[in-house]
Amino acid sequence: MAGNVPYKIPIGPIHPALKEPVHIELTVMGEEVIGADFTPGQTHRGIEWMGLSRNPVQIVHLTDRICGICGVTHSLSFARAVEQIAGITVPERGDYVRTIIAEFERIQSHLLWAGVAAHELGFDSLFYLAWRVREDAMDAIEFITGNRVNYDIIQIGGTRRDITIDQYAKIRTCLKTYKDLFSKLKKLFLEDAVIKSRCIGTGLLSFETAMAYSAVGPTSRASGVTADLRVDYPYCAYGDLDIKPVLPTAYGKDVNGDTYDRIVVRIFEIAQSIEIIETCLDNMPAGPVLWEEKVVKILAACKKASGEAVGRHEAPRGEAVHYVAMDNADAPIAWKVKASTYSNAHVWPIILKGAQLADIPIIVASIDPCMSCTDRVAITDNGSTKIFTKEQLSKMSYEKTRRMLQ
Amino acid sequence: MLPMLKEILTQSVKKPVTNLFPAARLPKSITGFLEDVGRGKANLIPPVETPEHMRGKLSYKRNICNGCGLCMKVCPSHAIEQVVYPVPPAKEGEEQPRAQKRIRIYVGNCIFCGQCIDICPKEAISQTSEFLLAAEDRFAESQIIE
Repeated sequence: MAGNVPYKIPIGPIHPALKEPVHIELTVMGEEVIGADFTPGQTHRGIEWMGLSRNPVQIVHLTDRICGICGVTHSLSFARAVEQIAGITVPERGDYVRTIIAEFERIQSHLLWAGVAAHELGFDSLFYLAWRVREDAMDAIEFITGNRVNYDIIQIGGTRRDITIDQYAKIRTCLKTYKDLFSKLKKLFLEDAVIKSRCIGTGLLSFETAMAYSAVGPTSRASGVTADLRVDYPYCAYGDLDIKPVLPTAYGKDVNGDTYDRIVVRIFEIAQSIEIIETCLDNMPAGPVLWEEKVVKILAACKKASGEAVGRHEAPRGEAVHYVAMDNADAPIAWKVKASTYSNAHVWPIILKGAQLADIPIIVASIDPCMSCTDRVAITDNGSTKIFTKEQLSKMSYEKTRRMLQ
Repeated sequence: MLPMLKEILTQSVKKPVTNLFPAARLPKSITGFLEDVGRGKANLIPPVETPEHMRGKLSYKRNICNGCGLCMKVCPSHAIEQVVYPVPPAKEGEEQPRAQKRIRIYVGNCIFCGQCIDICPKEAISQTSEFLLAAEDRFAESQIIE
């Protein structure tokens, strides 16, 4: 086909290759991508707006529904923000239970991602295996919290359920299964000729770009950025643990910043999570898991609180941030969620440049995108979608700050 | 080089892990199949067992409830509404009893967080492990707890 080159190929918002709605527009010259852009905002559900008419105890369970995989990420970040405003101290045991759930979530999320990555490569037998072994983590989570997906275990001031002594044995069995599986997983994902040939050298993200675009989580660590919220700003029980950010060097290789490195980081983070859970189970302090047993008292404490705070948590995909402002009322006056994919998605145009068309699914998937987490703003006015320029948005933001200061 | 090959070969002789719920093969009509199960003509393969303390459908004891309405305050999805049951007019010389305030839970709205159970001062609400709750009508008898 002659003429009209380069071509523009739109993918999405709804497309069989995409798990969630996002619009990606590619400029291609033959098989090669020479430019890429993306439009998020297709999964906006107005959760923040719903939150502004509810009290923090209600919102904390609403946050569980922001994302289907990060079941604890958002509720933990939100609860940490509210606890700071209301001056609530979480009991030590509550912190440990939170850590254990968060790490189980990391295991299941990374396994889910590993399966998706294999599927994007057309390696479906590995996809089935990864998702089958993921079930063990899901079962453990269901066993502790009472639900596979929407854990609902976080409460303002701690956790709603304790991990009792008789539950330890079953959790330890699950961890042992993963420990035995780990060498197999490592071999299947990292020594496979197909995965190696498809992933080494594709989707390159340099250390400098990762820093400049503020990539977070495994995406940045695969490029050699030693940033991990659990290590840099310890919270929950992470302060008591001896952990280091996982870099591709864990596999004894140099840092390249390609898709293969992202697989390496995630696979080794599974091993790290297993260790963290084991250490936490061994060192569980005694005592209550919740600051106040009576929910009515938590509600009263939240109603009295005023101020603003930021709650952060290192989600499986990277840092998630919740900003909450409260002013002596039932409902918060402001609530803003920034999920990790919001930071990571901005590297798409960079890492897609120069890629082959067939490599797009795996490169897009390599940052582990979660659009439900990300899409927080959609502006519609009489049915037509308005797009604001960065300057307009900055101006609006400055004005809002000024208004709030008055 | 291809470590998955060995794995596939070992998996192929193992029993599949999938639980074939509700039937091993897709019946011609699901509703017809379920009717047959009800009549005892067909066998249902049971779902995977739920763990202890799974958060399923709520159960509500109206005679214990005192109508305080705290559960409505903490329900994230506004699934609980207040119902006022009228009382017959009092006989002469007797004090008029107050109308009974009770609650109604819509299963279709419920997100199974179990917060209402935590806050209930009378322990009138509890959670069962029932999870097969799909229905065509959101106001069907199975979808409203009162």
